[in-house]
This record gives sequence, C-alpha cells and structure tokens, in this order.
Amino acid sequence: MLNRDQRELISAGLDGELTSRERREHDALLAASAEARALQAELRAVGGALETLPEVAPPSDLAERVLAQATPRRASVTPIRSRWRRVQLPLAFAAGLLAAVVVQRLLPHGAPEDQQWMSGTLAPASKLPGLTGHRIDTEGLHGQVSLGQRDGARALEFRLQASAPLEIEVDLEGTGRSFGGVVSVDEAPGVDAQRIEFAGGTVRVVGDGAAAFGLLLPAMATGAGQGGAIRVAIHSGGEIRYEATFED
Amino acid sequence: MTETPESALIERGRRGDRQALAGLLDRYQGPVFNAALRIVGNPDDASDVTQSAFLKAFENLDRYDPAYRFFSWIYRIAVNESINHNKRRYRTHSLEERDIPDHRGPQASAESGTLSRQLQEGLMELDEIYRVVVVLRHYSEFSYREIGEILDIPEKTVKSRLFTARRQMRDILLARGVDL
Repeated sequence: MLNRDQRELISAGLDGELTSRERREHDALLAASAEARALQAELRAVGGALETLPEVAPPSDLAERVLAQATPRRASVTPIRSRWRRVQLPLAFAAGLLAAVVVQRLLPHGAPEDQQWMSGTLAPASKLPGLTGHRIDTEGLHGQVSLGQRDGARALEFRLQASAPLEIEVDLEGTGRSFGGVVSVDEAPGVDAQRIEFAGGTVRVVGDGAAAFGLLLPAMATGAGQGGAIRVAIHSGGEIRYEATFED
Repeated sequence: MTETPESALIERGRRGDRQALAGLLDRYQGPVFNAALRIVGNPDDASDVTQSAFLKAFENLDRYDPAYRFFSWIYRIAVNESINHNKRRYRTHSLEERDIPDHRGPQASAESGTLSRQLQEGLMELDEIYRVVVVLRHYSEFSYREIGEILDIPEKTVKSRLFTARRQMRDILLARGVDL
C-alpha cells in the first residue's frame, strides 16, 4: 500500500517537478509497484481530461474597459490655495464661451510668441495666437490648453469640452515644479478638488466631460522650474485625444 | 518588431502611459481571463474579475516590487479577486438558490462538448483551494515554485494540494459519468 508521500511523488512526477533523487525514487517505485503504476495512469487520465478544456478568448472590449477606468497612482492631495472657489465640472460649459477673453487676461504679457514650447500633438491643434498654448478641435474634444503665469507661479489652464469623461495628466517630473493647487478662471468654474490627484510628479484630473480651471505649478526651489518640459496628455473615451510638451 | 521589455512597460505604466498599460493588458488579459474563468465558472463573471484585477494592478503599480515577476503579481491579484467574487456570489445566492447553481454562461455554452461542460462543472465542485492549484497548473502551466509564489504557500503544499485535487477531480468526473 502506497503512503501519502509516495502518492504525491507520483503526482509530482507527472508534472516534471522531481529532483534527481526523487526521480530515482519515483522510477524505482513504479518499477516495483503495480499500485503505483495504476495511480500514475489514473492521475494522468485526470490531467489529460482537464487539459481538453479549450482556451476562451476574452471579450473584445475588455482592454478598452480597463483602460477607460485605469488610474495609476492615487495619492490624493488637497489644493493649498483654499481661497479659490471650487466648483463642479459640469458648470464648465459656460467657460468655453468666455475662453478666449479669459485666457488673454490670465496669461503673461511677456511670453515670447515665437517660443517653441510644444511638440507631439496627437489631436488636431493649432497654436493660440499670442499665447503659449493650443486650441484643440478634434472628434470628442474641443477647447484649449495654455501655459501662463499667475501670482508668480506657472499656471496651466484648461478649457475643455469632451463627449466623454475626461482624464488630464500633467507630468512635472524633471521640471523642478510641484502642484500648488487649483484655481478657477474668473467667472469660469473650477474643478472639484475631490477629483484631483498628485503623486509621483504627475497631476491627474478626472472630469465629467467639461473642464475649466488652472493648475498652479510653483517652482519647488529658487532657480528650479527653468528649462524643464511639462508634459500634458488628455484622455477621453478610452483614447488619448491630445498630447503635448510645454517647454518651461 | 522587437517587443518592448516588460520592465519598460511597467515603468512607463507607473507614469500613466496608456500605451504601456495597453501593452501589459495585451500580454496578460487572455491568460488572466482564462484562469479567472476556470475559477469563477462563467465568462461574464470572469470578465468582471479580470477587469477588476487589472484595475487594481494598475492603480497600485507604484507598489509593485520588481524583485518579483509581474505575472506572479497580476495572477495573485486575479486569483484573490476570483475567490472574493465567489464569496460574494455565494453570499448573494445562498439564501435563494439551494440547488447547485448553473455556472454556465453563453461562452461556456459555446464550449459545446459535453466533456467540456462536465469538466467545468466538475471544477466548480472542487474545493476552492484545490480548484485554484489545478487552474494554475493545468491551464496556466505554472511550475510549483510559481504557484507557490502566486498563492504564497510552500511548494510542498502545492504538491500536496495538486495530488488531492486530482483525486477529488477523478471522483467527481466518474460520478458524472465521464469515462476516464
């Protein structure tokens, strides 16, 4: 009669999981015991039957569903500038109507017009005249993104209208800048602070499909924040709609 | 074309690169979905479990320790998600469904062979700790060491559970009239 260890040895032998010493013991056992050989045949038959189950293809939209919801890094922070009011994104639609005027007021007067500050745009986007920014007009995403100055800090301004929930990522890694809070843009709505995350050098904003707000990006130290590249990506409907790099 | 190294996909994924996350999904969604399918028993639930597992993995990429293999990590999450899913389902159904639940979904029905149905239903009759090792060994083809890593149990326990699982599965299949 085989003991438990011998039975497990035979089972493991079918999986090729034996050491050389165990292999010798296993082979000797099979050579000497009809019960061992019967057990091996029995276990092999079960394994063979199990492996006839076919592989099944996952649903074709599974990856898309995951990517639409994926939000790496979730360390939430509260914006440090509480005096700016925080309002909900759905109200942002009105901001689109005021966008051009507001941006003209907020952005620096001395920004060099011929500065080469972005690259890698995926969506059709045109440079905003006289401003460091883009007008975006593509399927599923309209509005503008611009980089300016507010209260001594860099401010990245968004006025966006999308046909699906928005996810905005601003990568500050290597720029010497940090996330200093959210500001509303004049009468335009800001953004719900609950939807803003900052971790690992990236600010992530999740919105309902409309957004009008500014992200303050102060330098972390004197002299920092010069010469880095602020990378911006906007996702909506599971796809990347806009991607650009702003030279600081 | 050269395949992007997994470590590069993970690093880029940590920075929120969607293409990198898509690359990880492309590599692992099929095997993870199939493992979940064999543990939870129907494709709709397996799809939910797979989705949930990847979302958890991506949200916690910063916590992933590259000293371990990524597939071990994602499988561990998926197995845990599958087990939790089964617990929730059991709690939900136990008060209203006293009969053996029919785990067949549309995809399983597409597995038209009677043997396939018997096998899947037989798997669902196995105790979960045994079903999981069978799935990881026979459908995901992991070694004992890898299974131990995924389940956080010693290799010796893997070996022992597999033996017991096969014996139980044999009895289940014979009781179902499957000719082995």
